[in-house]
Amino acid sequence: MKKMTFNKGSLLAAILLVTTISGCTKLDETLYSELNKNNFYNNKVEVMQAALRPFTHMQAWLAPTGQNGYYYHAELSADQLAWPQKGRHGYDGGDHFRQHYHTWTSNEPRMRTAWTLIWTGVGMINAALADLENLNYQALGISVEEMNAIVAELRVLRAYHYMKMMELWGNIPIAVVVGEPLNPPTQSRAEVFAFVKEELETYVPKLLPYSNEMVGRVSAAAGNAMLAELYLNAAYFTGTAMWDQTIAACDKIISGQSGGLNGGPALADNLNETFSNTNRLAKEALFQFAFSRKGGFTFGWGGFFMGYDNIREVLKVGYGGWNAFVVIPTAFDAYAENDLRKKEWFLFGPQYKYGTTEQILGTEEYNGQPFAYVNSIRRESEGDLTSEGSMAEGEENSGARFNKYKSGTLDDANYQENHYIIYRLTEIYFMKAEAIMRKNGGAATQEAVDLINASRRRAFSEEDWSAAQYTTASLTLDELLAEKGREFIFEGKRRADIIRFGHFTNGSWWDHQPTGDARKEIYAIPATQLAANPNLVQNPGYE
Amino acid sequence: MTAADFRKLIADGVVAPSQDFGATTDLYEELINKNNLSQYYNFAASGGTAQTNYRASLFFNEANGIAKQNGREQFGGRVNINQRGLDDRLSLSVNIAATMNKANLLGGGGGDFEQAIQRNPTAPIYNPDGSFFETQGYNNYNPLSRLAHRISERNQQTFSGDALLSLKLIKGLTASTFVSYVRDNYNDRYYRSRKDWDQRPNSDYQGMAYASKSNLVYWSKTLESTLNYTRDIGTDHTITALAGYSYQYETTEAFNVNNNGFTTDGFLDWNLGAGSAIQNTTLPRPGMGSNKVDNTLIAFFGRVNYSFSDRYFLTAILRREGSSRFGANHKWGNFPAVSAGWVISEEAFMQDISLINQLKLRVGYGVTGNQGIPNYQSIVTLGTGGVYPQNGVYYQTYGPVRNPNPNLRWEQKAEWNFGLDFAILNNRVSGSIDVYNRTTKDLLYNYNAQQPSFVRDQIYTNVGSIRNSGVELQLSAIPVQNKNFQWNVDFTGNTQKNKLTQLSNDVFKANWLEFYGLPSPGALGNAFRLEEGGAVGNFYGKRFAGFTEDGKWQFYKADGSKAPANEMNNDDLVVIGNGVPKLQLALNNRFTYKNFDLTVFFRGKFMYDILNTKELYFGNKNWLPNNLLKSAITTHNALNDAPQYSDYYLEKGDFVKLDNLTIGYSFHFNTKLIRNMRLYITGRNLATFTGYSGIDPELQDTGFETGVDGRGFYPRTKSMAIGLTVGF
Repeated sequence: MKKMTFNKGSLLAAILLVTTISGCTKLDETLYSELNKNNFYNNKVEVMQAALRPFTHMQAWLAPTGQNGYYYHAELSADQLAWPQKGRHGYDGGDHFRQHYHTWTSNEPRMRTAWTLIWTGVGMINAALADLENLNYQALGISVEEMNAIVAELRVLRAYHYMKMMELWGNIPIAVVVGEPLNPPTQSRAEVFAFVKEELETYVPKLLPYSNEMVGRVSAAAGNAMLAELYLNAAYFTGTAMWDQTIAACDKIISGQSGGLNGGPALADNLNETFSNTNRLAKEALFQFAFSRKGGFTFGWGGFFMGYDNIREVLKVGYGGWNAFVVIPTAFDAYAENDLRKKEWFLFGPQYKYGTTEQILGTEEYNGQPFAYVNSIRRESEGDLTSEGSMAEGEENSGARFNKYKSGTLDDANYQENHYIIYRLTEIYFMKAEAIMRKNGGAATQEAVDLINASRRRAFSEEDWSAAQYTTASLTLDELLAEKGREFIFEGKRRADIIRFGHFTNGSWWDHQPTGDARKEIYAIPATQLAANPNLVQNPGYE
Repeated sequence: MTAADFRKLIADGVVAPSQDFGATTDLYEELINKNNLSQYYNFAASGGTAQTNYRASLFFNEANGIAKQNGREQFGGRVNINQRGLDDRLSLSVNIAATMNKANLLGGGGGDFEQAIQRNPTAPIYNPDGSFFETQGYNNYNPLSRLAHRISERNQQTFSGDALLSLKLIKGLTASTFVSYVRDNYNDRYYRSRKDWDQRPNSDYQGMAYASKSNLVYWSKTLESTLNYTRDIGTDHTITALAGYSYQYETTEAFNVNNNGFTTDGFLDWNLGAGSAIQNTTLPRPGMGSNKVDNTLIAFFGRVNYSFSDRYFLTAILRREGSSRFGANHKWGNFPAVSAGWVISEEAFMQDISLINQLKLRVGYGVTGNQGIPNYQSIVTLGTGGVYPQNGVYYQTYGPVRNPNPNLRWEQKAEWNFGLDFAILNNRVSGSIDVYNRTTKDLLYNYNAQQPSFVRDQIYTNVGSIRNSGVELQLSAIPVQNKNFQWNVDFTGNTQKNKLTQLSNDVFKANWLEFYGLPSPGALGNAFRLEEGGAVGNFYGKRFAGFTEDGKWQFYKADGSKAPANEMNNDDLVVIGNGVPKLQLALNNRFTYKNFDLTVFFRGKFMYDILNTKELYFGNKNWLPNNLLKSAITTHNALNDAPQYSDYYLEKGDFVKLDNLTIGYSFHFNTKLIRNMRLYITGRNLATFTGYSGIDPELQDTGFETGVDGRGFYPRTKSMAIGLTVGF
C-alpha cells in the first residue's frame, strides 16, 4: 500500500519537474474591471460614452465644485469674491491671500492643479478624437453627418479649453495628439489665439442647433457664444479689435438660428429660474453642465459656498461646506438696496431655521450665539466694528454669502437637480452691448441700452424701474462692467471681464492694492511643469 | 484640559460662558475598555515514527483592545505531516492551516481619541432624555454615540495549504517541487442606526438608517521546482548547485453594496433590500461596486556555493524574474549576487593566537528587484468617468484611466556589504560589524507627468535613485559566568544615511516629491519635501522668527527679513529638520541565578526630529471653543494666532525605552509527566526616557513620512503578562 503511494509520488514529481522546467512564461495582464479599447466602441451608445468623457471631466475645473481649477482662480483674483482666513480656518498655506493680493509665484499648489485639470481635459479630448478617427463608425449605424457633428463638438470643446488656458497663462503649448511630441513647446498667445480662432471658425458651423435632446452638449449656441467671447477679447489678446464679428456671433444666437431649450433661447422671466433645480431646460441656457443627482452626478457647490453644518438648517439641505468664499463688502455694496438680486442671490443678515423665525446659532467666533451674516470681514467678535478689515481677519459670519443656485430642500422632488450654466443668453446681450459701445467710442446707443435693460428689468420692481433703468447717458462702459458684475456674480466670469477693462492690475478693491504690473494678467507656468517639460517657457515676470 | 481647567478659562473671559454645558466629562476615561484582558490558548500535539511524523495544533484567542468596541475572537488550527519513503530518498511534507477571525472594528480609531482631547469637557455625554448630546462645533462629535449606534465588523477566514515533495535522484542530486495555495476571505458589515448623528432627520438620510456589506477574496497559488546538487571533491572542495523555477499567481476579487432609507433598526444589515432609497430618489442613492485584479510573477534561478577547506567560501546567484506588471518589452529582469567569505581564524598562522576564537571576513554584492506597484500601469485602458446624458438618459462615460507606460520596468537595488564576525576570550565576547551601501535605481514611483502631452497628471515610471548607507554593530558578551550566576549582555547599534541622488531620466524630470499633507483646519501644506540631493525624511517648511507683541506668528522670509504668515510663499520654505533616526541602539541584559532569570531590555533611537502635530493644532488657544492641551495656556501662551506649520513644532525625538523586564522561575521536577515548567512575569514598554514633550517619541521611521506625531491620541499601553509554560 505504502509502496503504491510512493510510486505515484515519484511519478507526480517527475511530471511536475518536466512541465515546469519547460515552464510557463506568460506574463500578459488580464483586465477585469477596466476596458480594453479592442472590446469597446461596438455601438453608438459606446461611441458616445467615450465622446462624452471629456464633458464629465470638465466640471472639475470649470464649475464651482470645490476643485482648484479655472473657477477658483477666475473668482478669487478678482474684485467680487474672496476666501479670507476666518480665525483658525482658511489660512490654507496663504493660497487665498496671494490670489487676493496678486502675489502668486510659480509654485502655487492650486495653480498646479488648475493646469493639470484643464490639460487632462485636453488629453481626454485628444484621446477620444484619435479613437473616433480609427473607427469604422458606419458599420455601427452612425452616419457621416452624425460623426462629423461629434468630431466638431469635441474640437470646439477643445478650442474652449485652449481659450480658457490662454486667458489664464497666455503662452502655452498646443497639443492635439496624445504623447506627440513628448514635450510640446510653448507657443505665443498670438499663436494660441490663431489656433483657437481657426478651430472655432471651422467647426462651430458644423455643430447642431441646441435642443432638448442636446442638453449639456456643445451645440451651435455654445459654439457661437465661445466665438463671441473670443472676438470680444480679441482686442485685448491680439491688439486687433473684432467688434463686428462679436456682434455677428451674438446675433446668430439671439436670432434663434443656433437653437435653444424649450423653444428658447429667451431671457428668463425672473431672477431664479435659470439657477433653480428645474433649470435643466432653462430657456436662457446656451451651454450647461448636465448635472443630475438622480442620474448620479450631483452639482455640489457646498464646498466653496456653504457655511458649516449649522447653515444646513437655514436651507434645509443635507450638505454643508467649508465656509470658504465670501462676497467682498465693496461688491455687495455695488447693489442698490432696491435691487432684487441683493435679496434673491445672497444669504445675508440674521439666519433662521428653514421656515421658522428661530435664529440659528454660530459654532466658531459666535459659538452658541444667534448667527447673522454681516457685510464686513473683520474681527467684530473682538470689538472691531469700524475697520476695513483684511484677508486675515475674517470670522465665521463675515461677508454676504452665495445663494444664487438653490438646491431645494431635502424633501423637494428635484432636490439638487441643478445644472451648472456655462453660457446664458443674458451674457450674449452683454457681449453684444459692449461691442456696440466700444465700436461707438465707448458711448451707449439705444440698442445697447435696450440689451442691458432687458435683463436688468428682472432685478427691480414695477415702481422702482423707471429710476433704475439705464439710458444712453447713464450706461457708460464702466457702468456696463458694474452691471455685468452684479448680474454675473458667482458665475466665474469676473477675472476675464476686469482684465479686458484694464481694472485687474490697476483697480483697488477692499483689501487689494493695485500692483500696476500688467504681467500679473497672466499667471506663472507652474514650476512643476517647467521642470517636467524642458520646452516650456516661463511667462515674463516670473522667471 | 479638565472641565475645571476649561471653566477657569470661561471665568477668565477667554471662552464664552455659553460654552459651559454644565457637565464634567472625562471622555478618555469613557473610551477606555477597563476589562481589556486578553486570552490565548494553544494546544499542540506531535508524534510519529521513523518514517512519519505529525504535529497538530489548535488555538483560541480573544483579544480586547484598550479601546471599547475594538477586539477580536479567533480560533484556528494547523496540521503538519511529514512522510519519508523509498529508503529515505523521497520525502513529503504537507501543511494545512486555517484561521477564523471575527473582529469588531468600530472602536479604537484615532478619531475617537482625538475627540477625547478636544471635545468640550463640560459637554455631557447624554441629554436628560437619555439620547446622546452632540456639540455642533467644528470637528466635534460624540464618540460614545458613534459606538452605540454603529456596527462595524469583519468576519475573516484564512486558509493555507502547501506540500513539498523531494526526491533524491542520484547521490547528491535532489529534485523538489513545492506547491501552495493561500486564501484570505472576509466579509465586512457596517450599519448606522436611525439614531446615529449622521442619519439625523436634518441630514441627507432624513432620519433613516444606512447599511453596507462588502466582501473580499484574495487567493494565490505558487509552484516552485528545484534541482539541488551537492558534491565533495577531494577533502577540501565542496560544491552545491541549485537550479529552479517558480510561478506565482495572485488575485483579489471584491464587491460592496450599500443602501439607506431603512425606517426600522430591526434588520440591521440583514435585509438590504428593505431600504427605501431604492425607490425614494430624494435619499442618497444606493451604491454598489465590484473589482478584480490579478498578477503573475515568474522566476528562473540558479545558485552555486563553493567552499574550500572550510576557510574560503564563494556563492554566486542569478535570478531571472518576470512580472506581469511591467511593460511588454521589460517584463524580465536579471538579478545577480555574489558573496565571498574568509574564515581567518582557521588559517594556520592564527592557531597560536589563543585570544581569538573566531574571525571571519565577509564581502557581498547583490542586486534585487522590486515590483511593488499597482497592476495594469503599463497598458492603455478605459475606465468609468461619471455619467452624462445621451438624449436625456444618463449613461456612464469611459475614458483613459491612466498614462500607460510601456517602458515600465523593475526597480533595482544594488547592495555592497562588508562584514566582520568575531569571537574572543573563549567565546565570552563575540560580535559582528557590517558596513553597507545600497543604491536603489529606477525607483518606481507615481511621478508628475508633463501635460501636455500626457493625458493624466501622473505616471508610474522608473525615475530617480536613492542611496542608503550605514554601519551595523552587534556585540554579545558574558561578563560573569559561574555555577549559580550568569550575566549575558547583547548590544546592537546602527547608523544610517539616506539620500535621493537623482530625480530624473531622459523622459521625466521632477523637482521634488512631497509627502504628508497636514490635516485641516487651515490645509497647512505638505510636511515633507524630497529634493534631488536631499535626505529622505526632510521636513520642509517655514522658519519661526518669534511672535509679535499681540501673539501673531512671525517667520523668516528667504531674504532673512521677518514677515507674518500671509506674506510667506513657497520661496521662503526650507529644510527645517529630518524625521529619520540616524542612530539606533539596543541593550539587553539577562541574569540567571539558580532557577531565577531576569531580563532587562533597553532600546533607543537618536538624532532625529519629530513634528508634534498635537501641539500644532491642540496646543493653540485658536482651537477654542474645542478643548485644548494645557500647553496652549502655558508653553504656547504667547501665541494668539491660527495654526501654522513651521520649525516651531519640531522637537528632538531622542529616547531610551525600558522595553522589556521579565522575571522567571524554572521548576525542575523529578517526574516523567512534566518535562519542564517555567513561571514568569513580564512587563512591556515600562518606561521612556526622553526630552520629547508628546506621548511617545517612537514613530514611523522608515519610508517617506517619518517622525510625524499624528493628531490621534491612541493610548500607549504598558502591558503586564503572567505566563506558565509546561512541557509534557
